[in-house]
Amino acid sequence: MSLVARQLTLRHNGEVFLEDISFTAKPGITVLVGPTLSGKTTLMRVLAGLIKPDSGSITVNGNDVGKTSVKDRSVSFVYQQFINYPSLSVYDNIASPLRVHQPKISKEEMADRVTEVAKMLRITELLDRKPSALSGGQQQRVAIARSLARKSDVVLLDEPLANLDFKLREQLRDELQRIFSDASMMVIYSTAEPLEALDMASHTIVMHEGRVQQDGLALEMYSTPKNIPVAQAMSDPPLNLISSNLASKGSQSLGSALKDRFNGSFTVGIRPHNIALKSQKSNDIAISGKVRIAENTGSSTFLHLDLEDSQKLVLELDGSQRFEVGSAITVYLDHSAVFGFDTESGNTLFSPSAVR
Amino acid sequence: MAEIRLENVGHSYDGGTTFALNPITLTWEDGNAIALLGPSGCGKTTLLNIISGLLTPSVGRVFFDGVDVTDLDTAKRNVAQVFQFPVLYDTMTVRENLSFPLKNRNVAKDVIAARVDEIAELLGINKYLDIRPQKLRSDLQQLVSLGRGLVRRDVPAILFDEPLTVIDQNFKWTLRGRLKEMHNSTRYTLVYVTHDQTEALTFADDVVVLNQGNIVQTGTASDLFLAPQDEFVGFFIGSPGMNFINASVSDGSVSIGSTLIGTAVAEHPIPNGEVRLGIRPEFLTLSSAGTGTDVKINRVEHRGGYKLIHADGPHGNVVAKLPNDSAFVAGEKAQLVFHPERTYLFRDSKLAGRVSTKGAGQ
Repeated sequence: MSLVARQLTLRHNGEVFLEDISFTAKPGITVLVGPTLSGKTTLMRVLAGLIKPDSGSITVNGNDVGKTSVKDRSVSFVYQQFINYPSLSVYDNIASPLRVHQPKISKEEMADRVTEVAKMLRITELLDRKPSALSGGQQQRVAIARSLARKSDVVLLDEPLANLDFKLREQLRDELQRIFSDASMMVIYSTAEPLEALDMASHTIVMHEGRVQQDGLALEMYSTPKNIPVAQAMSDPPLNLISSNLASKGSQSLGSALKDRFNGSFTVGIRPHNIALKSQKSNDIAISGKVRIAENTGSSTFLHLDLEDSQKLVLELDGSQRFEVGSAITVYLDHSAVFGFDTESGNTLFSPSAVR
Repeated sequence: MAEIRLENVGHSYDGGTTFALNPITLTWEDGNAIALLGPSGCGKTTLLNIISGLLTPSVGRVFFDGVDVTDLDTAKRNVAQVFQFPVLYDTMTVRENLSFPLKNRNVAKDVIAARVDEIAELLGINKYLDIRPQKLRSDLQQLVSLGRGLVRRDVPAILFDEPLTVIDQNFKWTLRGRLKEMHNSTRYTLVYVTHDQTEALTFADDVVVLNQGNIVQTGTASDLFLAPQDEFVGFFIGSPGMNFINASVSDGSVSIGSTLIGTAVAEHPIPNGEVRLGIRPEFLTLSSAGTGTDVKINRVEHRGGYKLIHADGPHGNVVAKLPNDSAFVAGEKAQLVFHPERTYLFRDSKLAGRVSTKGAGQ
């Protein structure tokens, strides 16, 4: 089983929505990750057949589905904004796609399918209720259950957790992973959150400005991104990007402290947790700045610094730490955790040798 | 801006059968940034709406700087509000949108111009001042909405209802920082509703944690993280939240099953019986030394900068946050190592004390 997209392109009024998108999804989860407006939702709508691409093809299990109507495609779609029929019970909501697409199914089999998916999503005790009597998290479970009941070849989940509470998200994400990991369908799951992609730990596609930037395992893209958009799509808090021309203490510039990695002028990338207040290794790179603000979550402190040349740096430190706004401070970049990017193209010049 | 005081304020949407917000009494000092944090249905939005005047509480009185405003509507209370989605006039430019709340109150033209520039600078939207909001991306529109909320200085408080919902992940980091800087320099009274703990904890001087219509704890980020007074706070704050393990206290000694792990430290001696140990993933370590409480590792999650090790034990499942170089793999057996100062005891879901352990390899 597979879903193969080949060279999908979609433009409107000269604006590029999708450009030359090709990928293969196998049974299990494929995560689409990228910022808002990167083309994730548009791609999902094209895959569902809701929008016709200008060019390119989609094959599901070897069959070109380009000419198949939406109704006849074996595709289910779950939206960010959960949609249920308000007048139908949870049971009938879940059963509704079966009634439309598989009208000949027996009552017993329908009941079996509905109970099976309800059990999977832990909503068995809610089957007699109306959606309005449910919490947001429960309503989204119903919407997901409905998409599963049909046993479509392809299930599209467009940022399904985005409208849920933070804690519910953690919980449901774990469950979705469990439900879909042994499923025989192709699940395409989109998210704007790097941690969600890392948690899913499966096949991941990074999108940016309507293009596929990189395709592989989430952790690969975290540790060896092809370019700045990929590195950024896989970083939360965001990756720091500063110029190699900035002065480093004890040597001429950041660039000269990193000339064993790349010789020349480039953009230095470093994640906030790879910068420390004390030097730990002899090749740590010292850099000076002024405290702009410190944000404290209890678990960590995010220290924002102003560097020379109006550049900025954010550190993620363990625990609660206090800093005086405006005070001067020297911090240390872990040499082995630095990325180098071509300033012009944003392409990666070098990545850390291990996951940092 | 103003001090906000609530006296015995509560609200019921069904005429008193159930309370969405149980009666509370509290005072928020002038100039503080307060976050109301909790899951959906916890009462946080009800509380915000009572302060803004959108909702008249079923019981209790609301005071701004000592003046009873309970019966005043939103307009008369004069508070500024920022909502979840942009609320802007499409027929006006960004500048006109930002000026509107001031113009409406007959502020002098040059004062308006200076103030609008100041706010636009703070939010980084100066270059959009002369275009119409509908031409902007939704997150930029939301910035303009934020600007409208911040532009007046003569309001008792600025109220934010999940204002960063439509803001892109990456940009949230920048914007949160800017809001905090704005608060540091202005000391406006801000009340901010969110379900996102990072937003609440980083933004506010005091975070009010609500659950099922009750305030469970109010405190700084460190208070809530290090000393949760209630199991709910332990669970809700932190990502992942606190681990809870069934244990027992006998004459001051704390044991998991038959394994002694340390002695109870509490203000009032803890009576013998069942307790729950609460320990954050950040303070839990695993050892392969072979003594202590046994667990089996069932999943290792690589989160990029760190690993989450999920383990099952006979007394509860736990998660430990360990550095990238930790070599534990799924299927392996290990022993729990409790932090000597950060292992807490809960009874009936309330904090009862902590456990003094001997550290590694108990």
